[in-house]
Amino acid sequence: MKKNIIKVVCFICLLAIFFGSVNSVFKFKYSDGIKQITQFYKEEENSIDVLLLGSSHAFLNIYPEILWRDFGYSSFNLSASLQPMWSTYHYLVEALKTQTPEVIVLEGYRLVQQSDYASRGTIIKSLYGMKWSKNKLEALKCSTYRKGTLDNEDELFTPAELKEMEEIPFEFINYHARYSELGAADFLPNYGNPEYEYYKGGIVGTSVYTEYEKPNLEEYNREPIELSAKTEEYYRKILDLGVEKGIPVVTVIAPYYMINREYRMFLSAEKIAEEYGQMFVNYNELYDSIGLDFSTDILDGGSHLNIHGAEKFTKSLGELLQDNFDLSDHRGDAEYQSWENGAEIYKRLYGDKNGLTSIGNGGEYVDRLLSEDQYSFAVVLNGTDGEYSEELRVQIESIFKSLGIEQDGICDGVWFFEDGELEYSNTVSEAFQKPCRFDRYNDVRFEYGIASEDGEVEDFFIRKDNGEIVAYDEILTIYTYDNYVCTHVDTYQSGADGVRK
Amino acid sequence: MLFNSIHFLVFFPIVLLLYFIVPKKCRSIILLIASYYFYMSWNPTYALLILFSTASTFLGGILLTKALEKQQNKKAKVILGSVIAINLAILFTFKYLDFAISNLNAVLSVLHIQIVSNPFDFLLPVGISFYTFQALGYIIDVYRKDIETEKNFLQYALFVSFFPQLVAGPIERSGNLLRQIRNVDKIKVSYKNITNGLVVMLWGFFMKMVIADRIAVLANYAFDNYWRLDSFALIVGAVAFAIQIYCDFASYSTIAIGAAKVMGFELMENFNTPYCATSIKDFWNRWHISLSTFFKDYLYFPLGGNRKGKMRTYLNLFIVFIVSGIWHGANWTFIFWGALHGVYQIVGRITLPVKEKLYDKAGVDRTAFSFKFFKIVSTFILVDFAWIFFRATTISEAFGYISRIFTQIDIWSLFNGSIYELGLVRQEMNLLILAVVVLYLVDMLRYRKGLRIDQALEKENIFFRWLVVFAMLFAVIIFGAYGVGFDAQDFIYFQF
Repeated sequence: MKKNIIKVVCFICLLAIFFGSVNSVFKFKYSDGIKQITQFYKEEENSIDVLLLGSSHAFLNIYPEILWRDFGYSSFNLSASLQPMWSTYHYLVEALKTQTPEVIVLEGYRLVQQSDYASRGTIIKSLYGMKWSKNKLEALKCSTYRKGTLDNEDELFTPAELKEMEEIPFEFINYHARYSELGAADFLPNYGNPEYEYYKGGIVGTSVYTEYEKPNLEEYNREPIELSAKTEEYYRKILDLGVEKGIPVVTVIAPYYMINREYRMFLSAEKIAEEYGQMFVNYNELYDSIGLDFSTDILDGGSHLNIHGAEKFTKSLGELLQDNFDLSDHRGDAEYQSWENGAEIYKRLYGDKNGLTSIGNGGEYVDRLLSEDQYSFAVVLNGTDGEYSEELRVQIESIFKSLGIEQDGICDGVWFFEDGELEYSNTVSEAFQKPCRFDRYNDVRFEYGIASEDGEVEDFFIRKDNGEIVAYDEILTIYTYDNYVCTHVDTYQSGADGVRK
Repeated sequence: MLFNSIHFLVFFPIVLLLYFIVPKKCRSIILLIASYYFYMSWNPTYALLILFSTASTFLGGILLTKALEKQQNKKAKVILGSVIAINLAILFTFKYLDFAISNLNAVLSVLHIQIVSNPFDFLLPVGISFYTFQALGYIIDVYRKDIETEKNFLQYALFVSFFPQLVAGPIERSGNLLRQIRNVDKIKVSYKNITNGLVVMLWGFFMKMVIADRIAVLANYAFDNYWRLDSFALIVGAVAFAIQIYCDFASYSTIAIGAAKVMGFELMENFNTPYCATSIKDFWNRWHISLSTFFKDYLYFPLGGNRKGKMRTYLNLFIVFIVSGIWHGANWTFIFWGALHGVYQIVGRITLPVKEKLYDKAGVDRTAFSFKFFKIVSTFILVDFAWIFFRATTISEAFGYISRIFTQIDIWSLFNGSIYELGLVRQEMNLLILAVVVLYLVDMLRYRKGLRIDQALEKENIFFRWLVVFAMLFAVIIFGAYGVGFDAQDFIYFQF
């Protein structure tokens, strides 16, 4: 009997360990919801001064890295795609378990939500990252439609959707079939990407959408439209909780292509915020004062801001916080190093890529790479037996000199440097393939041959791990990999005139 | 309540817990309530049908016994006949009335007579053919004095409704299950029974969720698109259906056997490596054993079996298989399938002496592996050929399917990767092939050593045993067809 009990206990323990491991590999890891709250749990207790809440309009438009870089505020963007107000309320409850922010910023785009229930995808992204607790159970109950609640459920939901709703609380059922799409990110810490170690919840979008012009608000009807009862109930709960905890709640509406109906709903929400004596700022009324340009600052379909727009908006939000609240500037404080590191990653990944994109001279570019030991890079030369400017010749000679490449004159070839040391080079114009590992998970291959589909001339080139061919179409190419963020960050290219492309 | 549902995952542990903790005398009540709850989760009203079937056979049994005790054989026969007739009438009304009326209308329309409409519009009650047969088996056993009449209604009701095997078998005999129910208070909670039962259930879930529901995609693809597919895809589809129906049906019995075993009950085996059969007769000794022995005991033998001459034997065989076809469903496809199996058996018997002579003359070594292998393969081909009629929605569709196999030959499809274009992507197909290999290995254990998976594992060291159990468990929870993205399929035999 005793022996059997021991066996059962051992079996259950092993089962729990195996299932836990399998679960952590299989669970959803969406960047627009799950990763934010998963990372939030890792934050030091009471380290966040500015808690950012909301939907994609929060995580795509407000960059904690900018609030740190320009103001020294420790903020976290705890948001998820299409998150309804009731899930945001439960996020706030969850956040206040470990944090006591100085101010809560609610991006209130989802105040326009009409439906009382969220779709499966929205629920998953908002709630699957939460740790199991009473709060999570309430959040699930609040978001999920329960079969038999409404008489007209057949009109609102398909049978498949009703079944999906029943299965929502059983998380593993929803992702067990991910075996067909598992990748390195599912197995490795920080999704195999060091940038997530200091991640603060924001997502940077870099594409530019130019279809929309700035909405003319002067033509808009300003008669408020009531929010849906459930959305209003939970908006009020958020404000109530802020009042109860003595934490101001600032509701902001980030700039986007706002339609009139939504504007009228925000006017209604503004009145509710006023009832609680809380700030409500609709930045769609402030396009000009924040300098937003609809031809350069908008991302995908007009709903969100790209990096240019988000930087402007975040800075403006930072100023608003600076003017109205007494928030501490933590820059230089060792306890807030993770925000510093996050800002450093942002600097290296986006914008001027740690200053690299603004350098217009190949020689200076290489000197810059060598001045830090964070870079690996490949120099590729093609067509150096043809005609090119004196300017470019000087640049290439300077590069050779800086890198210690000893050649009789300038010739075609490929040179790969890691931490300033030459790891590999090849100047023989014959077919070859040399795999080169920039780090554990990012491979490229140096090759010689016909690179372009319609080309006849053979070149040295780099083939990326996705098959894409780069670095063959200009005389000088420097392909740069940043070891700090473990990714390719920049490519320097120059044609015969010696001017950077 | 499907076995492969969250509902059952909650239901079964609760029932087990109650079963183990209540006083032993109350066990049958707990199981009876659980069984009715299990059945009523499909359609509460239909519990009345099972209750009626139970009550009629129970009362019939008591009256029958009294008549027999008083040597009123004629009265006993009347009682037996009436009870059988009433139960079969219910079965007919719910299962065959629509079919009968539509066929009648087809005949009437030729004669230009007004068409009859079905006064009832019933959904087929789940498992009606199974529990009706089980209850009828009991009353026939009582008539034959093979079992003492049950006087405890609750115990008898549990025999008819015992939830593990209620809706898709095995069709239990009173001699086995009723006797165990009578002694339910003597069943000891046994670690071995619990663990072995759970292993058997797990294997059942593997067959259903990893193999049957995955290979169903191939079979469905072939049968739904047969009119535009060529020989290779159609053969793959037919073989896929053979594996699907085996895994689907055997998995239900396996889970039932396992679930009963956990509670200390031994149900009869229902499948014994059917595709290793060396003849059609052998196939029916291995496939749906509880039904084929039912027909043998309660139909074939009463008809005279093989004791009334060759022609009568052939006729009896044919009748049994026609009835078997009808039992499977109200459609000509099932009747044709049954008839085909009848013909196989009759032709097999007629040609047996000729074949034996030929083998002798040709000097065929009947003990050689190749001979046995040839017989297994040829039996499988015959069985699978018949499955085409079973799976097709009409007989003409089945003939269309078969004719394309022989006319649209595309031998090159064996080599050009076409197998990955039959509804399952490469990864799923490879997974399926691997799972079928596992099925083959487990079936070989049974075929060669006569061991069920739990019996085989019992002989192994704990490390290996646990390794296999964890591998099966995680195969089911990861690769099982359930949840979003999978359309959980009902067990095929529910419709019978």
